Amino acid sequence: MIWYKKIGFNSNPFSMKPAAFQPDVVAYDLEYIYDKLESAEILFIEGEYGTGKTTILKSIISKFKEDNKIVYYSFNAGRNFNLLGLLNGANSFLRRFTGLKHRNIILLLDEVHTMTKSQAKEILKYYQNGVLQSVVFVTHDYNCVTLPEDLQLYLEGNVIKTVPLSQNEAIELVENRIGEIDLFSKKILKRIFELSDKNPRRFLANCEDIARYAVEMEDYKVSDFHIDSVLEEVIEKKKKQREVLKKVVEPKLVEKIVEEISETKVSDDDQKPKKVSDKKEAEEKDEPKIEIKEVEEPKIDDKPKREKRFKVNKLVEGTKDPLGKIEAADENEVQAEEEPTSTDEIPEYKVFVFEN
Amino acid sequence: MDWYETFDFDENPFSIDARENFDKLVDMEEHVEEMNYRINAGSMLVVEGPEGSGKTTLLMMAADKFGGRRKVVYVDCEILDKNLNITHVLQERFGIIGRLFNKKPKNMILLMDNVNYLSKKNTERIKYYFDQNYIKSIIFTANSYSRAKFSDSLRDRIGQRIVKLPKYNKDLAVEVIMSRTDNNEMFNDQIITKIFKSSKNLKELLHNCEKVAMSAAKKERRRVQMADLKVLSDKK
Repeated sequence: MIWYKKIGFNSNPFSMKPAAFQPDVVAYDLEYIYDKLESAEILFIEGEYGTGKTTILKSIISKFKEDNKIVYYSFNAGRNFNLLGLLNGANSFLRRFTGLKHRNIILLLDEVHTMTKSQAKEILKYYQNGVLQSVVFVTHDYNCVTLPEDLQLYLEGNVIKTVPLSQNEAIELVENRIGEIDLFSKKILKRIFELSDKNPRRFLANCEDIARYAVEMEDYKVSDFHIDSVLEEVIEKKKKQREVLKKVVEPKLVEKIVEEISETKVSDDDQKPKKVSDKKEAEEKDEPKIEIKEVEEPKIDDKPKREKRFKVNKLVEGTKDPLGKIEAADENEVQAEEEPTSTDEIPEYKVFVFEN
Repeated sequence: MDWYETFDFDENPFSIDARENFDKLVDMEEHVEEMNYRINAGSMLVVEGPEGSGKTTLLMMAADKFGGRRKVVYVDCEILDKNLNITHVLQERFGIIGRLFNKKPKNMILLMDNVNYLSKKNTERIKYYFDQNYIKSIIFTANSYSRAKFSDSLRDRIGQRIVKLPKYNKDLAVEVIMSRTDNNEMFNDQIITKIFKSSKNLKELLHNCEKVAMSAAKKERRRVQMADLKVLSDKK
């Protein structure tokens, strides 16, 4: 019997698919984003892998799907980007027949690092003429996208950076997933989180493997023994890293550096602020964690600062590559990689679809 | 009379058809269990190993176990070129109607063989379909995972879930041949070692064993002798 069925789950509670579980949206200030979308603004969400970008998009879809038409498109979906086709698809048959068109469409664009400048211009045109109420661009790094200058102006103050989960948020994530089941203590989860380099996906993967190992041994409470057995290689690697550091770096600095890289052992009192930044964080515990830089627009100033998850950066002119070369290269590349749209052009390949 | 009947076999013991060899894998129980678990749990897994190490056979076992209701798709990337569109592959299960209406699959199990030949574009598409739950789980096989054109975000999703199959070596060769021949003394260690030395991988080893065994069968011998190895050099 599969381990998770033994503890009462029908499916893997540690699935890594974005928002496979609705309560996963932990510590996100979604209201801030919802407000922006309701105010018909354009947003850009950037963040490292596994920081929850796709999860945010899924939350937006469930929030607005009743009142607005949501169009989601991922640039890695393998189709040619056809904005008009996407927008027409958002209109019902009756609307298409009568010529009436939706004018409050929210366009969600994922993996926009492959979007070309001309595609971005086209999107902006539809936004300016009111067809699109709002647009959300998403990718891992704002600076790797080539955007027209007028679109950059719209994005001033609206570039949101998702940050990795904090330790407490990670614990909350697992607690949401497994509910009342007392499989992990907080101390154990902290240790797994540290051993996962604070990467949420790795954290979930490690939780799954450790829980599986424990439950298969008929242990229904994860202990250090289970962690040591499953993550033996990781622990060994981290030990070696520390030894190397001790040899290379002056002893006084070792402690400081070790603090910054992942620690393997987590003590109970690690909640106490140790570094200056931690102290600040603790002092501002109830303060907003949205970091707003160069806030000039009264709209943003007036916003009550919320939550911990986002750093909202106002773009500084000149920080973006003034395009040209990059864009031309990208466009050529995309064109070179275009796939056939007609099924006739699809080459023969070896595919079996299995049937009983 | 087929040559293998001389040795009291009902079928060719050295077959390299992955679909016929489920019971002939050596020391693979743990890997099979891991693969089956990852498929059930909705994850991605990479099976890495040299040619002839049993990667395709593992995938065929998965297809056999999870096949039905058109949920399992096997793709051999070596036979594809970069014009392959994985979208169309997934829509295969709905046939022409699926393509016409752009029908979206759900909870598919994707078995991707030889992903070293897969383009980056297709790996990105696969990630998208996985995230959207069109694909429930994926098993990739590769000669070398590090050389596969996987994006960082896809690698991040795979994490450490990599099964490494053993490299081709003499002990493995002896074990495989003994297992295939049910330890019936058709081959001895010395002869297997000789054949091992003239074979680059497990597939070639099996093929060469077949040739040598056929030579013995022609002479109506139930045991392979050194003289039978001549067929290997004759060919060269």
